[in-house]
Amino acid sequence: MSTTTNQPVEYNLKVVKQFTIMTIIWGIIGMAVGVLIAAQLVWPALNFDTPWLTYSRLRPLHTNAVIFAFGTSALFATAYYIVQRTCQVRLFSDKLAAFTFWGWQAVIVGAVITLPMGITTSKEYAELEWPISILIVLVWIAFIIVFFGTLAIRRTSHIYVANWFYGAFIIAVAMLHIGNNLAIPVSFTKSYSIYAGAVDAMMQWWYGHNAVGFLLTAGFLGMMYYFVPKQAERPVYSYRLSIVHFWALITIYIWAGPHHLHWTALPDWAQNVGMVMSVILFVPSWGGMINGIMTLSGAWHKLRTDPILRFLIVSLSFYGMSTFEGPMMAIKSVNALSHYTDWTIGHVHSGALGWVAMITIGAIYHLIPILFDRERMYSIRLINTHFWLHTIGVVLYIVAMWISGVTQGLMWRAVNSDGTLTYSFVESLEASYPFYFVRFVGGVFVVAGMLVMAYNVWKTIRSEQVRASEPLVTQPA
Amino acid sequence: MGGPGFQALYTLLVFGVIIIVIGWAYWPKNKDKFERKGESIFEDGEIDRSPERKKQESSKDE
Repeated sequence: MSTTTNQPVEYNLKVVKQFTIMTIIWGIIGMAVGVLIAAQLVWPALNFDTPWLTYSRLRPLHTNAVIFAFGTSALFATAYYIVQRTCQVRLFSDKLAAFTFWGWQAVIVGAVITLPMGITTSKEYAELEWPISILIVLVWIAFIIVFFGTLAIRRTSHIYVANWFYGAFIIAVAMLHIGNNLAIPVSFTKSYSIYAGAVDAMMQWWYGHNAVGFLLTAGFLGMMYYFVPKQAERPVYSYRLSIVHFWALITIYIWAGPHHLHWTALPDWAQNVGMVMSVILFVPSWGGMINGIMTLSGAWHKLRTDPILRFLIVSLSFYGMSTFEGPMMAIKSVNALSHYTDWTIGHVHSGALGWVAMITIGAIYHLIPILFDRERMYSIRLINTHFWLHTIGVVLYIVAMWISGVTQGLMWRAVNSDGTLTYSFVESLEASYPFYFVRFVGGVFVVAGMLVMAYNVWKTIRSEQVRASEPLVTQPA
Repeated sequence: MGGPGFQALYTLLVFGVIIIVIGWAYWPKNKDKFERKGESIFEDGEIDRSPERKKQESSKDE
């Protein structure tokens, strides 16, 4: 036994509930903005000639909302839940935990106001201007104190592997955010980065790719290592493999950023390091993916009847797909075709909608009945409906972007025998146009699924009653 | 030392760390210890495994 005491623990579930509910709300808002800008690419008139409704201002709002509002709220919720449960102790500080909730919501509201106004640093995924950037630092320091403080006062003899991934995510994000956002303010709403030229680009993509690596990967792997075994009701397939997965992932990921700058002014050796490290990343990534999926070994039948488990396992399939595709796209010759095309957008959404969103949705469906003391969700069929809406939406989205992206890449590089370009840019845009509509339809499916989830969660929280057509297993039909 | 030299040393360090971790994780004497750690998430107060909380599964394939 790893425990040192059997006394019951009064967990702080309030902050977990708050972050969980806001995850759903911000998810709907962020994804709905994504659908709007996808629609604008099909019907440009949808910006209504209004500056704050233009694609250029709403696109950063969409990325900030889904990454930092939806994704990071989910990470706060699950980190606070898992660290308490696996350490069998209440959070280190309730007040600081509450501060992280309200502080993080203030950051998001700040983003919702400033980005449509055009107030931006212009750094991708780091657009928020310096006052909000400083607030992020304060919230993150509080997060570090609460999380690591809870680990320090734990009642167990060891730290479960999920916490290692969360810990790495929290430390790395602090380092990345502070490093990339160092800037000189010239007014309350404008600052300039202290970096210039190729160094600025390198810092930006060191930050950008590791936001993917540590926030959107390591953090959600922590989620995976807790909720997959819990929902499958069996321990992770190989705890030893999870240890190798952790150390290999965090030591390699931090150097993959330069693959965003292939064929640019960045020194060639730095580009090559980024490419090599990215290709090597395939190994630990697939080790983790196999570890998660094989947790179901001997219990595959559960996938037929448990849509929550289906969300979790299919998310791992998308994780495997994305972490195969990513290293391939980081190879310079492949990157010459894929870079700046919609292929990249397809790759990102394979990871964001397939991996991040599905593992989050599965975790939320697992958590809601526990947090609100219910026997189960209001409707299992609605979870199943959500699963198929989401899966169909993601597949439509990424397949459309793959086709569009490869088409663009091939058209842009085609040259005539006299060296002139075969196609104009507008011709490649025309070729992409049908796929933009398919992408929009895929997005509508995903948002529709999120609305179904919100309804199911609302009904679960409001009443202990379950859907009349789906009585509890132990009740007479 | 220039950038390439630093990267070469760092790469060796990374591979060294990974090899040491693999040796540590898969050392036969550590097998039982790590298996117990993997099962530890089911020792946490049982609040989500109470008999009152019914399984979240539907009654038929969907």
